[in-house]
Amino acid sequence: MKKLVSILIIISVLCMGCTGQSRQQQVNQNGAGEAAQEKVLNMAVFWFDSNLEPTEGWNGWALTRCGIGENLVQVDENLEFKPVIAASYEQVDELTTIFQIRENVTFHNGHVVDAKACKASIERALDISDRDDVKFPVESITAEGQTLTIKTTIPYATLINNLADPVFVIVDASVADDEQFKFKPITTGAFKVETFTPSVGMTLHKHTSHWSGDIGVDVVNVKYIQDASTRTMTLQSGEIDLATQVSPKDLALFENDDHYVVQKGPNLRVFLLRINMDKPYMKHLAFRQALCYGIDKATYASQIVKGIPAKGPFNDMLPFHVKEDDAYPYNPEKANELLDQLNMVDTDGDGIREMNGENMILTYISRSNHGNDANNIGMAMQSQYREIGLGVDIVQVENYADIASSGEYDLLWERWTSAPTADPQYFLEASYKTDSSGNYGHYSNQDLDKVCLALDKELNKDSRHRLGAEGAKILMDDVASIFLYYQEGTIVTNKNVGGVYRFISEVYYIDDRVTME
Amino acid sequence: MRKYIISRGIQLIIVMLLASFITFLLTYISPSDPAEMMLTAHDVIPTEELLEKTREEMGLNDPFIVQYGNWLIGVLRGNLGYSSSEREQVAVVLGSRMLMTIRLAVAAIVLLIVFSLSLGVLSAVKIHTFIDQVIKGISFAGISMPSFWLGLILIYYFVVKQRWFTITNPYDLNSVILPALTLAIPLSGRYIRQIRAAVLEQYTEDYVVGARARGIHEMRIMKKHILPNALKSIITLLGLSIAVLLGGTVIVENIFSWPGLGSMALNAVTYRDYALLQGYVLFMAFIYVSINFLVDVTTQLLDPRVRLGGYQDDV
Repeated sequence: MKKLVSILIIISVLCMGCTGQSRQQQVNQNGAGEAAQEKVLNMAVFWFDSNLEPTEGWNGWALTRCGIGENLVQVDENLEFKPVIAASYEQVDELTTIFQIRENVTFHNGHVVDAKACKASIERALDISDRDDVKFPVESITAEGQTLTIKTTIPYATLINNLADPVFVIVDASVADDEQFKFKPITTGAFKVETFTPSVGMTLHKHTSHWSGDIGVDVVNVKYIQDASTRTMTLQSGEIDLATQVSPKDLALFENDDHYVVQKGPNLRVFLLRINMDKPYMKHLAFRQALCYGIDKATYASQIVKGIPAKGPFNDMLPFHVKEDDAYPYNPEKANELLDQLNMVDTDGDGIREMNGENMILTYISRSNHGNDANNIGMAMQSQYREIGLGVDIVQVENYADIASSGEYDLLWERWTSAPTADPQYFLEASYKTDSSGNYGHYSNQDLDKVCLALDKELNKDSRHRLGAEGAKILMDDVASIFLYYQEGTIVTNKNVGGVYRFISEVYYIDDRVTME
Repeated sequence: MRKYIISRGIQLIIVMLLASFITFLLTYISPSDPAEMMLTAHDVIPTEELLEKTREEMGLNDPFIVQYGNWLIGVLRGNLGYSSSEREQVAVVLGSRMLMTIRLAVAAIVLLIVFSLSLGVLSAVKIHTFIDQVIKGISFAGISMPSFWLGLILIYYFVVKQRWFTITNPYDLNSVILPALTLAIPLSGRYIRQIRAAVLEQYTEDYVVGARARGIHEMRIMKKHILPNALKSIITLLGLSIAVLLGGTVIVENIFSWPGLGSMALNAVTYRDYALLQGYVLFMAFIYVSINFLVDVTTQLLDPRVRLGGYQDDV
């Protein structure tokens, strides 16, 4: 028996040892064993891609979120453009923008960042990125000393917005061919990657030559923790100093505790039900209005999903949101009135209205990976629509695109990032413009199309915002979709962590301003 | 023995082929579109053009048999393919995840054997006493506890309240204990009862009664006679448990952010990552057949009456 126990212990110790970390983390948990005065920040993120190559998909988000990568220009926490690698920029005509690159910027490997380096980085992204949605039509990019000039082939209103996308994080293109580059990219941010293990996390050390001066944190341990409950508990245990996307249900644990700082507010995700406009009854505005009046969105948002009730595509933090109140607040009496006017009545006493002899039963589709929220809201709607004489069939599918293109639905659950580059054009155009690719419901509205056309040509930011708000109001008034709720973004930090801001875009979590007491 | 190993080798190839084919077929006929799954993971509502381009890149436009054939030819050349969700060679992904799963599985198996052996034997020795009742209660509780609940309770008590353990660094021994316990406790519940029953069965055997009559010490009877014979009956069960643990455990891995095969398989299914899913299935088929083979060999070593391929009559 002793032999058996000994063998078990030896095997387990050997296995624990032989599968140890290939690249040992330099810093222990909770600062144990760390060098004197070394400031270590442990943060948890809920999403990691398999590598850190910013031109691949959305991988660049890990770089911007953790203060590793910087762009020429970024969108700050107030949704204003903030020159970063570029000290300033100026649009000299409708095709040409000139950027003055900061004098004292260096890459993590010590190479100096000048206009030539920025040009190489941007051209590399345009050349190899799979993100066609953020590319722009280039006539020429020229570099002279610290002056970078980008000329587009056509007037391109969202050039700066696109350049702020993580795809265009400035990297040292001269070393980007190295096979380790995608795991340890050479960028300019406040922190540089020391170790990166997909599905586990990364260790970052401060960039001692960062252009902003000394960084207030020496080491950042970024942990990949997918489960929201686990993120909450590691915050409570002190294992983690900063966590994002803490479950709204757990927020109360931190909001009433002086040891934590909670920041929350709407992010850019909007959850909506796309309406199939090919259905004859959906062509009636009154019917669509009744659908809106018939549901209590505010309660869904507060009780089911802990979100913020939506009144249009853009939340109130965005400068192009709908200024007016929700056009169709919960009002079942009004819904009944509208349905009666449409001659949709229940003739057989089964509680469901009919149209042309057919029971009005709406098909509500969500995707199986949308989770419980989509289903729970569907059930709440089923119950409330029953009160106004409409039936609802809730269906969860996997072949979502097939169903959407086949038109076998009335209401289609969708989740969109409504303004990924802090500009309204993308969402209005991709989702609602007549015959656009994301317009599965075949919505068509000449007024909205005109707004999209105007956005194509308009270069002035304020005018674009005004047009965006106009488009959003058209969608709300015309019930192009049922806009349900905006997701609430959260960031929770221990009180000893400073300089952390909540960015509505969630493209950034920490940057050069982060500090630790 | 050689003939047996050859036949097992052939069996392994057949099982792996069948498993991979069936998995490929099931994934193929499932209504979801891997290209769409991958794109929508990032909140992109894909355009038809983008979908088509992605399908082409992923080789999804070829007929089923061509897709399967291409994959199989690649495997025979030692190339398990490229994971679309992990953007990495399947072999690399499997390799890194496998190490972490082995690490967790070994820890869980050690705890499982220690718990179940000690409590199972104690329960049998102290039959019909208060201790026996308590151990039976522990065993039932272990079986009844859902892993996710147990995992969260362990985290809450030992990480949040007591701060004895950490869970965010899987390379640290301190972070292995709780997930290993979460896996071991429910399994132990089953094993304690099995071991208790097996030991009690041996207690009534003539050779045990004879040994007692000859005045041999109870502990010696237990170590030399009862335990080896009792353990034979649970070797097969243990083999299956080892195979399950080596396949990764989705729920526990998710709760503890453990980067093993279980969470990888879940992602592969979520994103319909054919190549990664196929690689995982191949690996699992290999593990199950190999573990079965080892169980057979171990059983024969413990009981020479057993012949590989069936029992030999004691005539």
